[in-house]
Amino acid sequence: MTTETEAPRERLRPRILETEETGRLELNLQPPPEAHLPAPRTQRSRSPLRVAAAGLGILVLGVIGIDFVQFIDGAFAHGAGLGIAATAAVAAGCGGAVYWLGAELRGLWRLRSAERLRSLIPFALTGELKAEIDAAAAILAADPLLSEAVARYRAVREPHHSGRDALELFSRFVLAPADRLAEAAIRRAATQAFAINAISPTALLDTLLFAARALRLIREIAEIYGQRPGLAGTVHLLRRLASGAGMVGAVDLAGGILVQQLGGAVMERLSASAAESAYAAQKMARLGIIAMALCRPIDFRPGEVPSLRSLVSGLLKADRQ
Amino acid sequence: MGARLLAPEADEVPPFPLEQTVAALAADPPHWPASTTDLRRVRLVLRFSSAGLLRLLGGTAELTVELLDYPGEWLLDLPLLQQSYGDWSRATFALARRGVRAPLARDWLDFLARHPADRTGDPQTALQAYELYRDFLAACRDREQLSLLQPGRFLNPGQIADPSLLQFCPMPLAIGARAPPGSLAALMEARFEAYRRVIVQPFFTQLARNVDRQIVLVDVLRALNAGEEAFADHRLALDTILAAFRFGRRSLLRRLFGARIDRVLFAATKADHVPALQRDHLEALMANLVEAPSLRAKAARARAAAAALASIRCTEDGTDVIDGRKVDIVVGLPEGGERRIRFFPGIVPVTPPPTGFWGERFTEFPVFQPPRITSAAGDGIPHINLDKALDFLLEDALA
Repeated sequence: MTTETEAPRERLRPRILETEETGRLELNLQPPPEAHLPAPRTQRSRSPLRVAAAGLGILVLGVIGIDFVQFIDGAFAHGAGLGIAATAAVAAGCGGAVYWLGAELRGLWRLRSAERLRSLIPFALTGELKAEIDAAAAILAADPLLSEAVARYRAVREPHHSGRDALELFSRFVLAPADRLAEAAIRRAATQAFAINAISPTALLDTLLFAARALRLIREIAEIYGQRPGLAGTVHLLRRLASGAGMVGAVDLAGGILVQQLGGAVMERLSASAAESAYAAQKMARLGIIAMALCRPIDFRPGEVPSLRSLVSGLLKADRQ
Repeated sequence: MGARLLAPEADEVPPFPLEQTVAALAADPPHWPASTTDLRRVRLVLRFSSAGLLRLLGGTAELTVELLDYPGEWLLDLPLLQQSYGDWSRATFALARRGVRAPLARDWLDFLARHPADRTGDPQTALQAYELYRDFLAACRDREQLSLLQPGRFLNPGQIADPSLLQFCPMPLAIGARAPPGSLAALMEARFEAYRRVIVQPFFTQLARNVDRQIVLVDVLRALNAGEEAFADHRLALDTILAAFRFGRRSLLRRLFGARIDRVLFAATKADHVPALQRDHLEALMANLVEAPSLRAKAARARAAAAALASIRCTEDGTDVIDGRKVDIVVGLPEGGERRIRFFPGIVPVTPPPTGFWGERFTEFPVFQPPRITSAAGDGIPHINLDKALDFLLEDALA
């Protein structure tokens, strides 16, 4: 058996080629990458509600603190043993509170780290980009579902890879599996939103259940992207969700297309309540995509944003059957 | 949020000719401003909305940026501060007798053979020897595209009050030998020391006092296409200069006792002479060339990065077919020309190329006409990676 190998081709040398084209080039300025810069802070007068809340907070903390001191003091008045037990109980309570605070702060810090990385990556030089992506990989490595994917990324990334190569590998090996997990979570939530809407007896209960499920979805997605937000982290995410929904304009566009398609082809055939349930599912899916955009350590690249259609079409098919 | 130029200070550093530079680029047709031949300074005040504590107080922050521009060749004098005349002479002779330098150095070496180092030195002989040495350096630069051409001011002197300070050249001195008093070698050595003391030392003292961010511009593309020896020489020049850099993290103590460079960007210039796909290669090659100094900088807790840069973009990307292969090229209007040209810069390797890579030299790099800019403030200029370079250099200061 013989094997034919292609003869090595000669390296092309630099050269200048004449053209018949004349005139100056019209070079356009590159649009700056979207940095999602925070909106300029408007000068606001101190809100009376905030001042009152801060005052009340100090009052509550003061009362609790004094109560604790009195509680321990009273216990010691009944005997040393009781006093020590009371001190230990208060210390355990305070320790628990500090632990909770620490967990909250850690969750918030992870969230902030991911947000900082996302703002740095569009401006990073190739060499720096690798360091930023490795930092993002370190965040995702903490997620048990993605630790294997991160290990695979680390195994394939070589020192000679450029920043763009590293970004490509990170997208392929880590973000793609994370996106699939997030999409699965969105599908689950959309199905449940559909069901909640269908079986809920009152509009109020429907709204409450929808909000609870949406909150759970946001936390699920944040956890998939390695952020494990606590209460403060969830509030931060909700605030960003409220202010940054425009970040994924593509979602709205995809939604519009879906509505057009549904409006013409499907919705007419569905009953009014089923149509409402479909809209609830679509809203949940849209919320999920926006949460994905917020929690991903790297912005979606063109073509990576999951379409609403792909997330809810199976649901509608199931319903029609 | 805004920027303003500060009036030049009344000291010995002349201001950067900003208006003339903008006028050259805004002319019809636009042309490149004259290249830097001396130390120039421009000071800017940037006003920005701080993301730090100041933001909570609702205030704006200001940052004064002082840009120092000087011919890159002058950096070649930095290593001279750590060398004796004898050491420098021996290193220069060893180089001059090797490779493509040898035929170019013949006239100068013949002259030195006729005028031994221990012969009584007179200024006229020193002047002749200097002129022959300078011509040798010029030939190395112009004909062979070499870069390690010391002293740096011989080919780009700038404003020097006493030209006799430059009138010296290396002399053959054995290791441990001292130039006899009154000899030609002693005269040359005295001028070398005066050159270091009067010109080199004050310049670098000024830089060390003020500079904590550095951009090193490297014409990697030209070196790559000038042949194996020119490329190796370029690397050697880079290594020689960068070995003398002082890196270190910025701190108050260091500011008091002389700044250290805490961020350095190695920028491969002419990024607009290669198509987009190859810019990553250019950047990787740049990073590879400065790997050792980058590690040294990182060990000193400074930050180092490499980039492919074009502060003014003059071309657009396109494709062509060369020898039956579809290749990416760049298209631009050559300066002074009427017809656009399509330029294929060759294949840029990501690591220093092996011996088999080198072929015929290519030195006729096109000079493209810059895009015409408007002189109105606030209008941008097309560029490649300049924003990223500034972000790397100033990101912490603008936080």
